[in-house]
Amino acid sequence: MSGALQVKNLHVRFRRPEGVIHAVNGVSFEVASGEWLGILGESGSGKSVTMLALLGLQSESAFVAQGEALFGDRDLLKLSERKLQSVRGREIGMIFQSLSAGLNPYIRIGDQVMEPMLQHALCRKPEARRRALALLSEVGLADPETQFRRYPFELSGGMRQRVMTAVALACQPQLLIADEPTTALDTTIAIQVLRMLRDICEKRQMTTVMVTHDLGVATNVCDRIIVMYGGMVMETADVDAFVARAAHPYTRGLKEALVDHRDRGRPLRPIPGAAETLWEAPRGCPFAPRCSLADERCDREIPNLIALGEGHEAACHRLEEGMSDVG
Amino acid sequence: MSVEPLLEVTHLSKSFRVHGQTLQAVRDVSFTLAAGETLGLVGESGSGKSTLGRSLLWLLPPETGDVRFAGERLRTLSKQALRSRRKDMQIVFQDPVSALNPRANVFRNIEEPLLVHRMGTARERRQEVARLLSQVGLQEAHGLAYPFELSGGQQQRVMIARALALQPKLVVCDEMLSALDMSVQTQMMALLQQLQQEHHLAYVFISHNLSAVGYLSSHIAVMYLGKIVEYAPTEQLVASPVHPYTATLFQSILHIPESKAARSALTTLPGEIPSPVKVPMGCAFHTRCPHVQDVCRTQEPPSIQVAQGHFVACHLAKGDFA
Repeated sequence: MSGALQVKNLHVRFRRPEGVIHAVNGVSFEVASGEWLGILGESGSGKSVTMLALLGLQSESAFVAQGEALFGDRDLLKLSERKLQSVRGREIGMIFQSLSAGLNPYIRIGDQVMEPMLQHALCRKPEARRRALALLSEVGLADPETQFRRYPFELSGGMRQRVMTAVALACQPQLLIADEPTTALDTTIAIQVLRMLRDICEKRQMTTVMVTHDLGVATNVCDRIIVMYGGMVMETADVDAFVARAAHPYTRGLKEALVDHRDRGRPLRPIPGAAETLWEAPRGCPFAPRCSLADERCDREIPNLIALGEGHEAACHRLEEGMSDVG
Repeated sequence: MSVEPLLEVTHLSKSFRVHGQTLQAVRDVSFTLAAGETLGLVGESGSGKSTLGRSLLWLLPPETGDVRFAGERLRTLSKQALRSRRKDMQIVFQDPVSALNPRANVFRNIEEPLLVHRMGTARERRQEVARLLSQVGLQEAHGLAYPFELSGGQQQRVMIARALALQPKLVVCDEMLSALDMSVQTQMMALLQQLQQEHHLAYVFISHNLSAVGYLSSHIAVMYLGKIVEYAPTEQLVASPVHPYTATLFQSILHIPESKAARSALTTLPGEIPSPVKVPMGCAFHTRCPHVQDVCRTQEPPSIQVAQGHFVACHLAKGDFA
């Protein structure tokens, strides 16, 4: 099996009273089996919307205008809600940032971990209970028997994130989607949760897609990183290429803007401006208004992803021109 | 020559009653801050850093301890005197949406503190707001917008403009970067730096973003369960942390690695910060400390000076600095 997930030319829009927001504008990417892919972007980049749309979990006002999402031999975007339900939570596990939204406050932890197994009829209750206890211990919760009987409010944020991971893993999915799993957590707890996720994914050889805005998180846990801006893929690179040879002006800008206390003498170099809401489909490169290298072609023509090396692509006219200058 | 500090906090403690129990948010905290300097307050949620930020402005008056601001004891001030003193002490919060008036446009939001303190004529105020807008990198046209029409970064700029309206000497920045995108966080830090230079502002910069604190602050205070466990000039604290908690916190920052092979091993402290309702006996950090000794479980370590201006509360610290 080659690709665990293949997304082709995805377009997602939001209907708003003021108009239509073009949130995702032709996103294509592939996730290889067993790899840990990071989708990096700031708010409004379309990174979360992309993943939610694949799972049919986008908000009411959002709709998929175009695209394919091949998971095995099925197109997730063409499945009925009923079929999709049998995929979600069973073949694809999900972890979200919002610590309150992920768990039901009125249901004991143990029942929430057993639920996907019972709902997908994987096993009967005694077996589900046995597996749930093993899962709670796998995600690093001490004394699973006690945790099993507790309610979410009795747990800290870090423990709730562990429980959500146990729920996501309950049916042994091939693919795990984690949306900002550590964003709401304190530094030390975030590291603990990342470590737990990394260990589990390695052990289970699970394919993982993690959405994050954090360069430090992405570069320290992912195998490959996709950088999104304005609902488009700006660059994709494996971690080695990302840290050594990031090419897109936006990716380079993000790296430059990162503050490092070990380098206090260096002046801050923020990316000027801010991302704008896309009330129209982009006609050019969405980053052009903030890009110091942009020229008029960038405003009127959408750049294609061009190959820069093995598994390294970027969408930038200036980069393309620079390369042909050299060649 | 000894210059009187702008802010002097001594033995400040603040607790809350929660469900019949006492939550000790800040326990016996002392430090000073000079004009034009930045104190970074770091620590995990529940460390008491936000409560400390509010207490030192007397927004949450502490039960015990004192705050001297520009030589005045805040505890002795009348309500009216305190209110007038507040012109010099401002705070910027994490969430601009809840701090700004949604029914008033940006202009009116920034003008409000001037109105409250009855400053200037309408015309002077209009000029002043225009000046403030440009100072924080916004255009005059933004004055007519309503807060919800602005991006998170622009809203935070409005908050800063409003805090600056009264020309304060001290601004407490409470997690003001947390809700912002990474590229915008750096913009905001550059703005804070520029304003500090122009106005000789002092900041208390509260954040769990250790890189940002380490970059902006002249001094750092590391808090754990309401106490300052280590305090030092930034270079000193980052280069030679003494408290095991400080060392682990700074090791936990995920920097971009040189290569995939050089990635973080993702090692950190075990366990979580205990509840401030049940502060552990002895050193509050002993439940997570990799170097814990018997004495740590029973006796609270005093804060000792280990180098010039470098204070640590840890039994294992060597206090032979004369």
